[in-house]
Parts: sequence; structure tokens; C-alpha cells
Amino acid sequence: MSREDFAPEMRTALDRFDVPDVRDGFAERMMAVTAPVSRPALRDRRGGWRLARRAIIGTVAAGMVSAAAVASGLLGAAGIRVPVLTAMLAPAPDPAPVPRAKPKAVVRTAVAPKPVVVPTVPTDPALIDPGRFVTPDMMVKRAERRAQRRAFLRQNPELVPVIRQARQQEKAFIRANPEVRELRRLPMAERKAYLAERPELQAAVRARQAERRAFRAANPQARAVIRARIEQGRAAMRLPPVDPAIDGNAAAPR
Amino acid sequence: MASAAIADVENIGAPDDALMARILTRDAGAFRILVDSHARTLHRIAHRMIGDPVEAEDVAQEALARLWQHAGRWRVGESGQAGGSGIGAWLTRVTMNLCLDRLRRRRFASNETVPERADDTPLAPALIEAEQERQRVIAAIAALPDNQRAAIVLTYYEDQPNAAAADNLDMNIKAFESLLLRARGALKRALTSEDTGENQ
Repeated sequence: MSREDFAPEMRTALDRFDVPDVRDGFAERMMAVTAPVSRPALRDRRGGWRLARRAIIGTVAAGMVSAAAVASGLLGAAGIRVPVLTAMLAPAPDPAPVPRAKPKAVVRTAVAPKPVVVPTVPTDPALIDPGRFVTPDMMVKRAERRAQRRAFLRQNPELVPVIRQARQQEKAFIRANPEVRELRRLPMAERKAYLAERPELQAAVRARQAERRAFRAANPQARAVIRARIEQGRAAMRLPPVDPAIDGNAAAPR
Repeated sequence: MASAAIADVENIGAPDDALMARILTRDAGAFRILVDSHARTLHRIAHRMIGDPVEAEDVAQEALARLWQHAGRWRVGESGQAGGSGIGAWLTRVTMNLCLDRLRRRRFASNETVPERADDTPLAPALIEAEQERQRVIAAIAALPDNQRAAIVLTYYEDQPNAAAADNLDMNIKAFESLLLRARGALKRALTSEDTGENQ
């Protein structure tokens, strides 16, 4: 079918539908399609900062990955040591296995085990060593003597330096020979036997005896007063109170 | 210069294949030859289908741009296909599809008929009467269904054989002839009834 197949009246009518030509410049506008598409530059002026940012991100990422690998023991297992991270994060190696001691062979015997002895304070006075334990009676006596000495020194103050010097000599001797304390508690026979085996100690004891004799010779009045007072005190403790008029000789020194 | 290039192309044996080969190599000169030789036809078809010259220009431009962008899809020997006429047939088919798409979208957007632009230019009575006749024909063609209007545009205005027009509309020849018969009948009824109405 072509234009001639249409009726003349219809052709006349259809031909009235004319269309204007395409506008000028259409071809030129159309050629813009062929222009290469201008793509944005891949790198702009911030290229330097972008590079630095990537370097920083990469470094941090590498550090985190290394830290994770060190913390998990992965690098340690491969024998790789990262300078700082290994010391900080590496898991502690397993402690060396302690060889188990072989269990001792259990020998069963018919002998009963020894009972455990718990030391206790002896209550029987016969078992108490008088040189090692201080009984309440002794404590009372010592307190009384201490009070008597203080009262004696208050009455004779001129003897205080003499007695102090004597005490200092005794303390120095004891400090140099501490075993003398124990030695003095022994009976005389044992004391002599003990000293016979230790000539140095025996010489020290003899030197101390000589020192005491020299001290007594240097302070005769003190010795006399002390002895008289002691005798008075001992007599007061030993004897019942007596009338001074009857027992006038009791206060005289020996 | 463009007309000389067109003449050169037409002188060779398979001008469409050679032209598309050059376009495939991004030869702007070859594309310019195609634009100059097909732009008016495409614009005419689009104008008669859509009824708006500016939008018709957009359609023609889009069809030609697709040819440039999808030149790689061109198959050598396509110009020898039955009913086809090479690049022209391809462009006509693309233009017709673009027009139908736009008409379909326009119909979705509004149920109203295509508005005709009012011409406020003062005319002589003879010109006024001729313009009224023209508008009447335009309205009758615009009132046709899209596929019937496409059959009229391709066969009458573009003087295409039925086989080529059927190919452009992606129809077989029998269906197209039936469609064309119905389009002619509808158009004749529309024009005759208007003539009758005016006479009464």
C-alpha cells in the first residue's frame, strides 16, 4: 500500500498536516554527542594530603594487624619478633613442666607412728628447772630486794657512783662472755669442769675475779656499808621483828 | 561538504556498513553524514506521532545519540535484511519506539488528549480556514490509537512499503495490513463525520 492507495479526498486532507523542518543548528547540537565525555580529574589539588592520609591509615592498619597477630601469638609461633609489640603483648610462654617426683614406695610396717609431742608448760614443781624458770615466789623476792636496794641508795647517795661503776664492769663482762650466765647456774663442780675444758673462758673469769678484788680494795667503805645493809635486810627478812634494844648487836657489821 | 560525503558514501556498495564501521572508530565526520541524511526524517516522524515539534526534536536527537553510543551492536549486512533499509530503518524503528514510549508515559501522567498549541498570529480569512482544516486533520490523526497513527505516518507520510513499516513496528505483514485498514477506516470516519457536522 502506498500513498496512491489512499482516496484523493483523504490525501488532500492528510497533506494539510505538514510539519516544519528541524530547527537550525540541530546537526551542530547533535555533534556534541561525539565530544569525548569530560571526566573529573582523578586527582585534585588535595593529592598530597590524600597521599599522606592513605599512608597514615595504612600505617595504623598495619600496626593494628601486627598487634593482633602478636597478641594472638601468631608471630611468636613463626619466630618473628616485632620490636615493641612483642614485649608488650606477646603471651607469656608456658612454664616449664616440673618433673613430678616419683611417689615414694609406701612401706607398710606394724610399727605405729610416733605420737606427735606438743610441748607444754610443766605444772609439777619437781620438773621445773630453778635456773631456767622464774617462779612467782622468786619474782616476789626479787621485787623486795629491788625495793631494798633503792631504799639503801636513797639513804647513801654517795655510793651511787660506786655501785654504778661496779654494774658497768659486770655488764661488760657478761656482754663479752654471755655463757657466763648459764655457767653461774651450774653447781660448782660442773662449773669447774666446764671451765677446765675452755681455757679462754676460764681466763676471762679469773680476770673478772681479779677485777672485782681490785674494785673492793679501791672502795673499802662501800663494801663495808653495803655488806652491813645487806646483812640488815637479810636479817629483817629472815628474822622476826625484834626489839632493837634487845638485839643491839644485830646491826653491827660482821 | 556533508552532501559530498553523503554522495561518496552512497557510491560505495554497502554504504551503511562502511558508515557504521567509521562510527565504530568514533569518526565524527561519519556521524555528521548520518545526522544530515536522517535528522529531518526522524523529526518528521516524531512530530506527526507526538504532535509537538520541540519534543520531536528531542526524540530525533535521542535516536541519533543511541546510534552513536551503540554502534558496536550494528551487524554487518543488516542493511540487506528483508523490509529494512539499513541505518534509516534502524533509526526509524528506534524513533517510533521512543515516540510510543513517550505517548504511553504521557497517557499515564494525564488522561487528557494532547493539547494543541494555540496560534495567536492574526491571519487572513483564507489562511484561517486553511489552518482550521489543518488542525482538524491533526486532531483526527491524534485521535487515532498510537499503532494506527504509526501505520498512517509510516505508509502515507514516509511512503514506506507495508513490509518495511511492519518491520519498523515489529509486526508481521498481515497484522500490519489489518492495522492499516482499520486506521484508514477510522481516519476516514473521523474526517467525514467532521465534514458532515460542519455542513449540518
